[in-house]
Amino acid sequence: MDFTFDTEQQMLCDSVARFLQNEYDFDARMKLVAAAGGGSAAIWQKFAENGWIAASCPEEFGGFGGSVIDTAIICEQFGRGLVIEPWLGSAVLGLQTLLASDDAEAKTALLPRLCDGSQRIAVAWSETAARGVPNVVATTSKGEGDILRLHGTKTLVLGGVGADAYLVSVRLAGSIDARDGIALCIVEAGAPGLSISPTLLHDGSLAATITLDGANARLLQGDGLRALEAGLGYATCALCAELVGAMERAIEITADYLRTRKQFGVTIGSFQSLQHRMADMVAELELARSMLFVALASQENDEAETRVATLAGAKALITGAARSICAQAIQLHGGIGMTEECAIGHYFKRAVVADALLGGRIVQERICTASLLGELAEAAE
Amino acid sequence: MDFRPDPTLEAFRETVRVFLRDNLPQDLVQTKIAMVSPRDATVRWQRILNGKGWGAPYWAERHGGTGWSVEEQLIFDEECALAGAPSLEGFAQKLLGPVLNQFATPEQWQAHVPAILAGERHWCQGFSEPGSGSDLASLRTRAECRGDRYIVNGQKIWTSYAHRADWIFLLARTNAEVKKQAGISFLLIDMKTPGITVRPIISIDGQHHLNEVFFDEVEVPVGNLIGEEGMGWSITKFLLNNEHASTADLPILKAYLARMKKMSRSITVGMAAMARQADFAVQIARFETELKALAMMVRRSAALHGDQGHFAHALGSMLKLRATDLQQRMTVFMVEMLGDDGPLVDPVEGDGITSEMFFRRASTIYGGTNEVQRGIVAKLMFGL
Repeated sequence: MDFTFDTEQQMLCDSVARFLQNEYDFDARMKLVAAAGGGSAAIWQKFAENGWIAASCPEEFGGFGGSVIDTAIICEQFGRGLVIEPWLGSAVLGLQTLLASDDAEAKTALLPRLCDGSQRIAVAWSETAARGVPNVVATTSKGEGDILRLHGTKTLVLGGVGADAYLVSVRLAGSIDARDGIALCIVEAGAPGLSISPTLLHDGSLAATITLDGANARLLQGDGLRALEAGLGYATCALCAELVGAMERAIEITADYLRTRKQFGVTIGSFQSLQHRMADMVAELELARSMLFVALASQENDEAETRVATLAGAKALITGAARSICAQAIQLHGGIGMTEECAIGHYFKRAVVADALLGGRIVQERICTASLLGELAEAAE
Repeated sequence: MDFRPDPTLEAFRETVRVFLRDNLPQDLVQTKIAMVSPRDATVRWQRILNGKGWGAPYWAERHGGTGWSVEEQLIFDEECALAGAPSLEGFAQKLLGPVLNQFATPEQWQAHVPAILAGERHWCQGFSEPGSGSDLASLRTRAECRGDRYIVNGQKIWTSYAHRADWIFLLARTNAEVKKQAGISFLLIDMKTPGITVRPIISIDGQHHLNEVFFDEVEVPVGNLIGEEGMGWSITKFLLNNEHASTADLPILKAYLARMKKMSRSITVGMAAMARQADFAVQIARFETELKALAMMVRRSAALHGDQGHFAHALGSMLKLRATDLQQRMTVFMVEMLGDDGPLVDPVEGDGITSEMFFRRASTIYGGTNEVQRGIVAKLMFGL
């Protein structure tokens, strides 16, 4: 294992950091939040021009052939800058889910257009009762062959506003939570029977609730759940990396504040109780960063079963750390930390939202527990 | 950044496994969790390792060590723990050895290292004193130079395994006139020297690990001074810097997790084994995840071995904070798992676990208390 950036990775990291510094500072970001549009199309084009969307897509589909580590490097910087663009939903979950599918035709047609930014897709997979469990699918279909008509409601669709097409999970057979009988379909934006209602999230980003009332859909070849879980695994790594960046920046901002804020005639950073709290926060950050590395290693090396359990543990541990560190950061700021104009509260908001995305802590821990119960039962036999 | 598996390391792991399978005597395999093996087990195992040329797994080749990379050292430790191999003599291997390799004269090196490799000489560490715990540099044990001898007077405390050590390496004040750090020297003393008294301290786990060691007009040849007079503090900083990746006691944490899983299969609650009940399993799963993160943190710290930068140093302290906290929480949970057996001195199930939990309270005190570590982290990371 090598924990240091090579030259190309360093260049990628620097280029994202430079963009954030020059074009996406806190004021610019707050203007985008105030506009309530979930980011801007112009910025999306810059993501494409800089090659970031294409970074982890194979060359045969118009990408640069990088690994999940490249995605993580970009996401960590986006986390530092609290980027609200539909990056996670479209550039990571959308692209990687499609890439993981067995539908060569759809991949060849669509992936290059995602990479160059001319199109954007979102994945409509979660439902109210699913709570982030991808095999809980109540959305049904009618019709035969490759063209289906879908009925159901999908929630918390990241990047769902303004997408050109949607990957939708649908139940073809079996009970509501059966692992078999799930397919992915493509629904074009503007299809009759498809309605998109934007849902604003507390961190200023935008998702959508999507209602399918007989909307026309084209079936993707292959096991839908397998492709979806692969995409979700990739997105989990991305979100974990983003949170590591967010925690890191929240701690830096807080350290700056402790060095400048004066009370009782001294900087508050001179108080041991606050110093020790900062030490605990950064120790928790480094544990979380270590867990991110575990997740990235698992994503690169492990078989699906091990990977799913490891990533679930990573999501639970890292979102837990992010909530706790960013909450502490507000506390260390005192009253000013409670205000909208102060950056620190926005880091906490992102941490809270992130827990609910891609399946919350309870669901993730259930996955880890199920995996452990299986292991213990096997050992007993 | 690259997380793909390294085939040479996997091959190394296999080599260690095969060696352990063929050479670890069954009567030395320990099934109980124990930090430190009985002395005779450690001695026999050291001889076996030394016969293979693995007598100093953490040292460079030019010092008579294996020359293994830190990654290889971690694999060696992990496989030894999995196989239940006896513990090595850690004071010599991890603390004193690197000091001798760096600072000893050829004569001093020759006088001690072959005996360490042969397993014949066990060591203890004389740092803490009754008035000098976290504030180590305030220590008062005196070493007064008279001709070719130092005369040592004073008292050390919390001296682990002094009762079974052959020699002690200790810090003593050789100059009271200078700044407190500058007046400290690093001495090696034979525990059989007249004037040394070892008195046991029984800790809250009911065991005898700790001691007080008294020095009354103890004569030490000047040739037993390591480095020069007044270098003791910088040698100590060197010694403690070498310690970081091992402060996590990762093999012990892994042994706790394995023990937890085993207990969950053998303990019944209500109608079924704990291993079949999700409310117990979720807790174990949390520990397992945290342990994965911690193991990666150890690798990161090990990869920074030799790096003198602020972050490398602070990461060692952060590792100590997180690992000791985990040790305490895991042992507390195992006592909870035992239920009615938890409070019993002679339980039916889980022998030694409650004692281990009591002993683990020391983890956040020794090696620099966790409060001292937090101070170090705040200073190094944030300049606070």
